[in-house]
Amino acid sequence: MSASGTRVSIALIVDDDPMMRLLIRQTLERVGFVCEEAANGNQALERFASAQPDIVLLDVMMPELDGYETCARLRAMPGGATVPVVMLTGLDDDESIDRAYQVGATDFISKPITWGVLGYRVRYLLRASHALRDVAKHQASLETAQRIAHLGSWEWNLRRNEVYWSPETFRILGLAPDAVTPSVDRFLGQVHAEDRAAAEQAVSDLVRTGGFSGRVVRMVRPDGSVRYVQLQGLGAFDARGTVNQ
Amino acid sequence: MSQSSRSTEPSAAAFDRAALDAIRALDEGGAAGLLQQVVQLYLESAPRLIAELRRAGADGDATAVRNAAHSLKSSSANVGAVRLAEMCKAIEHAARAGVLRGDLPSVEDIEREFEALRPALEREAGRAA
Repeated sequence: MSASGTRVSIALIVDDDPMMRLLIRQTLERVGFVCEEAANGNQALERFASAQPDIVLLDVMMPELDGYETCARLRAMPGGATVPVVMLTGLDDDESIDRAYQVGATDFISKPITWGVLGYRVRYLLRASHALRDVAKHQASLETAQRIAHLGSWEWNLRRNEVYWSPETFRILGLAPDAVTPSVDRFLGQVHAEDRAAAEQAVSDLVRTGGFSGRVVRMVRPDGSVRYVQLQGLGAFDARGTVNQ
Repeated sequence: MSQSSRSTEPSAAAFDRAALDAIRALDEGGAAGLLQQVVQLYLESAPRLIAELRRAGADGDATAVRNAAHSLKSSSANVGAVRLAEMCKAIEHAARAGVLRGDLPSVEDIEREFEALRPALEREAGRAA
């Protein structure tokens, strides 16, 4: 059994108590994990580097390097920024939980541990982390594809009047990403004066009929250079048949 | 200390067999001897931690008291020694605030509780899978 279907998932169990490590290992092996163990924080950092685990279960209260410090250091290691780290805490006060999140814990599980639940919880966390990783990967390949094609995309939520521009859209407009808040007016403001009426017509067609395509307009960038841009839009309709996006 | 199992049998409130059943369930009914291993680890570590509690208490070392009480609390809870876990929790919380005396269970109370549980745990450890 494996989490991704292609390889076995490795869990790193960090606890100074051998009984705890034994019980967690048994629990996770039952749901298909291969387990690595560390008895203290320094050993955990070594094992993390050598075993490259998919998830880390980290006891908070350990002598010398405690769980918080271990987590903070692990986050700074190669591969350590995104690995899910589950803190095991017997401390039930809010301060410890706050601190766990501050040092970068993904989640925490309170001791005493309900063994039946632990396996499901760890599996779920791993799935969630894989999903996040996949989204980030797809986002990155989409951005690369848009950059190669000089294709910028945008989304306009009419109800909230919120506009999203992809990074390539910013580049086409000659704007630094995050330098301005995307808006329809901002976009129209950069359309060449002679083409503005056509662009405004396209926007009103979109809101009224749900689509337009193929209109080419000139966009004027802040440095004065001009780009020819082909505009396309496709509306999404709400339940009452009104374009809402 | 009496050797009669009747007089050393812990009260129902002190011992939660569901915790042991949960461990047994992790092991398809005991095939790998997990419960025996866990109880054995507990029977080895608890006296050591109680001795550490005594030493740290005598030295007035709040950090060491806290750590020993924390470890004993955690492992006691795993084997279903709920009252012992509660006693350790009280000591741990007080020690975290730097308090070692007052309305707290004594090391003798802890030791008595552990000795009362020991026969039942030894039976679990010795029980054939």
